Amino acid sequence: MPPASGAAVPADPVVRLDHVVKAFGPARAVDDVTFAVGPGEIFGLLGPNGAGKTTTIRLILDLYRPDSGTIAVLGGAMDDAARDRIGYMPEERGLYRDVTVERCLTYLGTLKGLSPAESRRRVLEHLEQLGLAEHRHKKVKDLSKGMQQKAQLVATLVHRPALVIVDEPFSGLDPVNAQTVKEWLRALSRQGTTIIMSSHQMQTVSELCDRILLINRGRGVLYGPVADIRRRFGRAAVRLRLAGDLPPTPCIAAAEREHGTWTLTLAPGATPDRLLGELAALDAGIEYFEVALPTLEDIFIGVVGGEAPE
Amino acid sequence: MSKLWRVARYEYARHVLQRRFLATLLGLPLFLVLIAAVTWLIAVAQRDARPVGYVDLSGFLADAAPPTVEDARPGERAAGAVRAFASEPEARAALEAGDIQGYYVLPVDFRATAAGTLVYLDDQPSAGARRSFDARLRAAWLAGLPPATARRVADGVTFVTPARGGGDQPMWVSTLVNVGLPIFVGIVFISAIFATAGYLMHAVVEEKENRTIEVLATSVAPGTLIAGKIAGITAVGLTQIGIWSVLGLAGLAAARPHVAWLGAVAVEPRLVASMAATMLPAYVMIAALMVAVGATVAEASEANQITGIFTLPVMLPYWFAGQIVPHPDSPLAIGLTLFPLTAPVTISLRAGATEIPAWQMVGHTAFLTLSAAAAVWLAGRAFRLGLLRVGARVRWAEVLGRT
Repeated sequence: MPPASGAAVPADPVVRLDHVVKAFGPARAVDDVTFAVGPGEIFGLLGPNGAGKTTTIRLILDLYRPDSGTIAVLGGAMDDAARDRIGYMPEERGLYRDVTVERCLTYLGTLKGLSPAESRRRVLEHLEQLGLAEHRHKKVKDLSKGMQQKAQLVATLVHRPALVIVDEPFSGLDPVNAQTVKEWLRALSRQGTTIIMSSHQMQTVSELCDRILLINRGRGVLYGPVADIRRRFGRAAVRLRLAGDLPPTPCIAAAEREHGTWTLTLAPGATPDRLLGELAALDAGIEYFEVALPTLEDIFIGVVGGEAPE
Repeated sequence: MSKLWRVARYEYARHVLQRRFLATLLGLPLFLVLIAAVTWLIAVAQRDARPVGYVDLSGFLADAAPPTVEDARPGERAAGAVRAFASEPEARAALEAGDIQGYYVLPVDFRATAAGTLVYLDDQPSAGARRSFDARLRAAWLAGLPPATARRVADGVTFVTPARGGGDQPMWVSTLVNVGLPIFVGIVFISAIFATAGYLMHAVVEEKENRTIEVLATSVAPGTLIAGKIAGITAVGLTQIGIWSVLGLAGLAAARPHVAWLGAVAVEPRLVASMAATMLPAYVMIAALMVAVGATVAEASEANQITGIFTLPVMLPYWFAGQIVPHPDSPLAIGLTLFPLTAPVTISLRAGATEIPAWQMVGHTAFLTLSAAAAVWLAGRAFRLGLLRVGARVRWAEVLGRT
């Protein structure tokens, strides 16, 4: 499947990759990947372990140089000005362990172009918001894992970046902290910050992301808005609950009932609209009617396992 | 403020505020003081205060009055008295009783032959005791001469060398300052660079292991990051050397009123300039090589092994010190001066022993500066290749762009 087919490409992308290839020895970690991310979007990079998500992120960040293809970030090639507008949270957290939280985060802020005083002010503000203010004089290694992840989030956001790239941001987080991170990401997106998020947690991606690129074995295999992809992979099926029995209609090819909810597979040529019309005409007592769309997880497993229809 | 400066400042503060920096800073002077104290204690413990005896069968010494305490040199004064015996059996008995260190026998024809015998049991009489007896003999030989002439002959001739900046210094002080001091500075420099560059190498390995490097490299270009780290660690080294210098100068200033020859010490600016022109680029070069090693290895223990590859050539000139110091303009000395890794120590060995020709100074400084620049480039490349390879080595062929 061509990665970009059917995907709405933003007119003024914050990040754009065109036919990017990166190989390590004989193995192509990223193989002809093309996608673009628009301003204010939350964009998901999905894929199984080893699919090439982290390599793609490192290419965007200029930590790796592509073997071929082009990458534009914040309007051009990576330079110091662009680096100052990017916040990056790696999957494996990277903070100086033997340094105090405040000193470490303030230093990282200054490397993003903030003055030491401004960096410190913002660090303390963020630590306060995340409930870490009282731990600011502790060494990073003395914080709990959850606290270290929050501190890493502060390092990512302290300079108010235009583009935030987070690699597996929920890895190892408890539900409370995961919810906190989600809220931060949503708030950033509302403020116009562009977010690229790599994850294999489908439910979270489905909740947060506007569009996704599914990568498998280095290649982009699905690309576009989440809702469009789900519709595209939707089986012709509906879920419904009725006050009475299910009346027979020509639109239904098969029916299953579980806990009072019917899952109906539509007959060839039938549509959910037509079925709804027929059931209404038959006065079937409709209590609940939903076009059944596959979850991202279903699609992911199907595509990666080679089972999903094109 | 540029990012390079910020990285340098952070690295500087990070290392200077560490306990191990203070340990090294204070450890070396304390070690030197300890060595001096132990040497002194050993010398005191081994000093033999017993007199040395003599049996004068020629009557030669009877003709001369013994030298006064004021006439004796410091070593002779410390060695104690010279004791006369009437006969050899008497002297032998005193020796076996442990009353004397040994005894000299001046035969009857001593005045004609100037040949005598020294008798001792297991150990020779100490140098001081022997000097005391020599002084007695000198005084006897000079008896009858006018006192001023006798003193002049006894003291010998003192040569002095003109010191830069005015004044003269005795030749042995000049040798100490011009040969000893550069060698000492070379040792201090090597200690400082391997200590501080070693911190840097381990810091890079640690940053790789804890993934901080990935965050840093998304904020600062790898070349800037490396240059900042090297600048910071060079400043750490200079701080260390600066503090040692201040401590050393303070010690000398305190000792000057009590040690007469220290007043004659004068260090030539040429010596300081040639050492600085060598040590600064050498410092940057070795620090950069340390970073390159840190960036390419999988773990810290591996880094320690690899650093031996360039530690050996740096130390190599010390093996040839016996040839370089007496023959400072030999082809070996010149060759080692021009090779960047051996230059720092070779210069420290040669600087006081000869006036190094300008072409060699310019040549070796140029080679060192170019090598330092190449090492920084290499470190940047190794860093870029190695920064994301946790637990895996980067091959040097890759760093050098051969694959």
